[in-house]
Formats: sequence, C-alpha cells, structure tokens
Amino acid sequence: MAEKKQLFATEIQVLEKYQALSNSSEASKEDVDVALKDLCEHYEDLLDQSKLITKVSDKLQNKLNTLNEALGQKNTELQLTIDELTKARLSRKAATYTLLLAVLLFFISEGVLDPIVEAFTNNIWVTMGVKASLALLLKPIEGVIEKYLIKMAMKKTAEVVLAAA
Amino acid sequence: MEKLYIDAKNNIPLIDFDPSSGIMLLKGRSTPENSVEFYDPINKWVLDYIQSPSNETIVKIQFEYFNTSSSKCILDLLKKFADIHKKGGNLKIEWYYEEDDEDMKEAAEDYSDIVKVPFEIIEIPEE
Repeated sequence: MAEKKQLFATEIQVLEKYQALSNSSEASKEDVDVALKDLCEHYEDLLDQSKLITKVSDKLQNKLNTLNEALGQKNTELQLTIDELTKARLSRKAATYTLLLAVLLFFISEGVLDPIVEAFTNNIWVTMGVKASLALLLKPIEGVIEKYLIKMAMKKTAEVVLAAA
Repeated sequence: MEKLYIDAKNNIPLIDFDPSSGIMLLKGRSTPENSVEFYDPINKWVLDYIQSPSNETIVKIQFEYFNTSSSKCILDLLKKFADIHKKGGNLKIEWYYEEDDEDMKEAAEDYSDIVKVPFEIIEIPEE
C-alpha cells in the first residue's frame, strides 16, 4: 500500500489539490474553470496510464500462462523420464536378485533335489526335466521381483510426497 | 553533471546515462522489488539533466521484460525526457525489441502515443 502511494504520488498530489479547491468556498468561477481544465488534462493522462498498465498487466499474465503451460509439459516429460529410469534401475536390480536366486537354485538342485530324484529313478530325462522346470521358473520370478521393487519404490515416493505436503 | 551508471542485475536493468554525449541507455529486465525506490534516483537525475540537456539527447531503450509497477515508472521517466522535446530540444527515443517480441513492440507504440514523442522502433535479432 505504501508503495502504491509513492508510485502514484503525483496523481495523489493533484487529487488533494483539487479536493481542497472543491471544498473551498472562496474559489471564484475563474479558479474553477482553470481547475477543471487542468483536472481534465490530468484525468486524460491518468486514463492513458490505466490503459497502458492494464495492457502490460494482461500481457504479463499471458506470458505467465504460456510459461506455466510449458513448465507443466516439461514436468510431465521429466516425470516420464524419471519413471523410465527408475524402472530400468529396478529391472537391473531384479535381474541381479534373479541371478543370485539361480545360483542358489543350482546348488539346491545339485545338492538336494538330484539325490532325491535319483533315489526314485535313474532316468536322466527326469533330472533334466526338474532342472529345466527350475530354469523356466526364473523369468516369472524375475517379473514378480521387479513388480515388488516397483511397488516398494512407489510407496516410498508417495510417503516422501505426503511428508513434503 | 556526473554520469549515472547502474549495473544490470537479474531484476534491474542497466542504466548508463551520459550527460556529455547525451546518450541514455536502459537495457535488460526491470522487475525490482520496489520499482519506485529503484527509479526515484534515476528520475531525480533526469530532472537535473533536462535543465541543461546536451545538444542531442538519444534515449536508447532495450527492455527484455518489465513488471507492472516498472511500466508506470518507465512512463514517468519518458515523460521527463519528453519535456526536452516539448521545450524544442533535440530528443530521439530509440526503442529496441527482439524479433518476435511483439509485446515489446506494442509497448513502444503505446508509450510513444502517451508521451507524444515519435519513437524509432528498431527490431534486433534475438540474443
């Protein structure tokens, strides 16, 4: 408010001058005529200023709207990139876990499953079938691990967003 | 009379007013926190300058952006320079705008209409 007073200091001065004149009973017709002419000039000037300031303000608003739109679009693009990067990172993590699981399953198969199968049958195809089944299970397991990691990451993100809000 | 020089910052324009050559340069962005406070010493300097201006005064304006309160302060400043023209002095106002910045071009036309001084509106390539 204080800034506005200073910004329109000249205009306020003019207004106060003619308010005083209008309240004065000593003003002659000639004084009033001169004042009216001067006041008209100031009014015209003020009208020009209002037009200019309104126009500038509207243009600024339009610029802000355009920038906001562009910013929103960039945000969406950024979010998509972040999501893709997160997914890629989690996929790599899931592949590592699956590899570790595959190594573990190899040892279990060699040390535990093979002796059990061999106790029932000596057919090599049965042993191979068990191993192949375990190997085929690896891909779905990787998918499950990946989904779990993504779910956890989303939960963590949601917690961060909620904490920030 | 001493030269008036204010270095440009992110929110204030470059002010380089040289009374000996009569070249007054305003360039950059004008979004000061308090426009009146920023433009007040400039207005005072111009009031002093117009008492005995140079043979030819050239006001070169190249705004990239200005906020609403600055628009009023710029108008007040231009009105003071326009007094040189009204008193029969030699005043030239050059308004530079970057190509495609139609808003700045229109602003120049509006200012020219209000201060009743013809502006030379010059398009320049984008920096």
